[in-house]
Amino acid sequence: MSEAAALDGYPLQCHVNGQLLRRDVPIERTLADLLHDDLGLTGTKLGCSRGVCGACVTLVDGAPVASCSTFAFQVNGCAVLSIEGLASGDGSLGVIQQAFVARSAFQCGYCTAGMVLLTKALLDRDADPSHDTIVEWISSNVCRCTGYVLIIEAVQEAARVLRAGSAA
Amino acid sequence: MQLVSSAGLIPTSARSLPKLKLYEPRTVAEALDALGRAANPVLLSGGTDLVARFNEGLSPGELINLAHVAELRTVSADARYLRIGAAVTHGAGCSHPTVREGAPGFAHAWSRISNPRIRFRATLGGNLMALRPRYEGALLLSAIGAELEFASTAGASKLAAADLWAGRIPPRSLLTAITIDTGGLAWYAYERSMRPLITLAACLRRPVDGGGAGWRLRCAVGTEYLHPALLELNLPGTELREIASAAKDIADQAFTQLPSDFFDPVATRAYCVAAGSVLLARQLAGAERV
Repeated sequence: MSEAAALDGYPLQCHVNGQLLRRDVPIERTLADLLHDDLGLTGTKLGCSRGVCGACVTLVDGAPVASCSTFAFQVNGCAVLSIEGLASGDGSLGVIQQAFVARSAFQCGYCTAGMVLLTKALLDRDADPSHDTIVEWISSNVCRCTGYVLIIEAVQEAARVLRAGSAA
Repeated sequence: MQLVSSAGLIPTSARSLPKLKLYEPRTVAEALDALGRAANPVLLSGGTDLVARFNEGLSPGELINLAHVAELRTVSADARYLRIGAAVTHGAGCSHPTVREGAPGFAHAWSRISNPRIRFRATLGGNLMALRPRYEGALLLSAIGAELEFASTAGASKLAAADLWAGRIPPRSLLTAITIDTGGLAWYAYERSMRPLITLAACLRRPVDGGGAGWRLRCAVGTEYLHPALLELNLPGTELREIASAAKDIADQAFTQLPSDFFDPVATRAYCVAAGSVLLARQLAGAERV
């Protein structure tokens, strides 16, 4: 049996929004802090800092995770997508973001990045989700402003636009 | 709040994590070795709950990351038992063909807990070992009579899921798997429509190994704050429709067993009996449709 060694820091290597990142991180560094503080990707919002509210959601290998409750070393070898990674090269908004704007699916906007990324994770798996499926997914995150109705409509609109785009 | 250059204001709570060392074992044996050598370790499985526990005061010195221990993520079955590795996520486990075939009602119930985001990462073992009554794994597994397999340097041991809070978890041990006896398993249902006030899971089995006729009903009842209570009845009959037609009487009889101290700040025992018997009767009435 080999003895597992205890590490004081971690030689992290991953992709963030398509860019290779190599960085030594403290073991206790969270993914949220890495993105927000170290990389300046401030679209990642800290809310509850306990994995409940979902404001800090990022996609790790396509799966939504609460970055406040994910250690940076846990994404070693993974592809991380923050809200900044959804914008086009010219800075224009992606389809899901445009749908959120069109439906006014936010008020204070603090939850929006997490909601948009959650929506991407859903629509990547189910191009035509039912109302119940959307509700189930969106209930992963907390919005204290909109009452969710406009967010659900935005998800439905984004799904319609994306389906139309892939059919064209 | 702290002002961080280039980042603006951030909550100080996110900066309160203790300084940690990391072990990354590849096998259960290596994990046990790390557990033995670390001064103040905590196990990291899915990790969805761990930062919250840090915020509540948990302050370990070492983190033992179980992500690379492949044997903890396996699901297997034989003719009688379903074995689920402790680090199987909710999402992977509830949709696993072996789980769905061996215990379809349990698999469906498992798919209802938490939310899609958490189900991607949270594990069944982590759900149990967090020892939070409101986490639903212990309730679901108590109803189906599951056993928890632990490994430690002193050897392997088992514990009934229903005894999770009985203080018999071996020290410095690792939960490796959850075993479900699928013999005679005929029906399983989970009722969480009134969560967090009251939840219940119920299971009906036929006797196996020459155990006679009739049914064995096992129902686990939980709330936000209470460890699950077990209600058990032997019932006559041979068909599920007989259970369904007597659902209300059976549920009322089962809930007479609810312990006298089963109440919490938001639900009295009388409320739990009244609501729980209605919920159980509703589930049993649908048993014949399985």
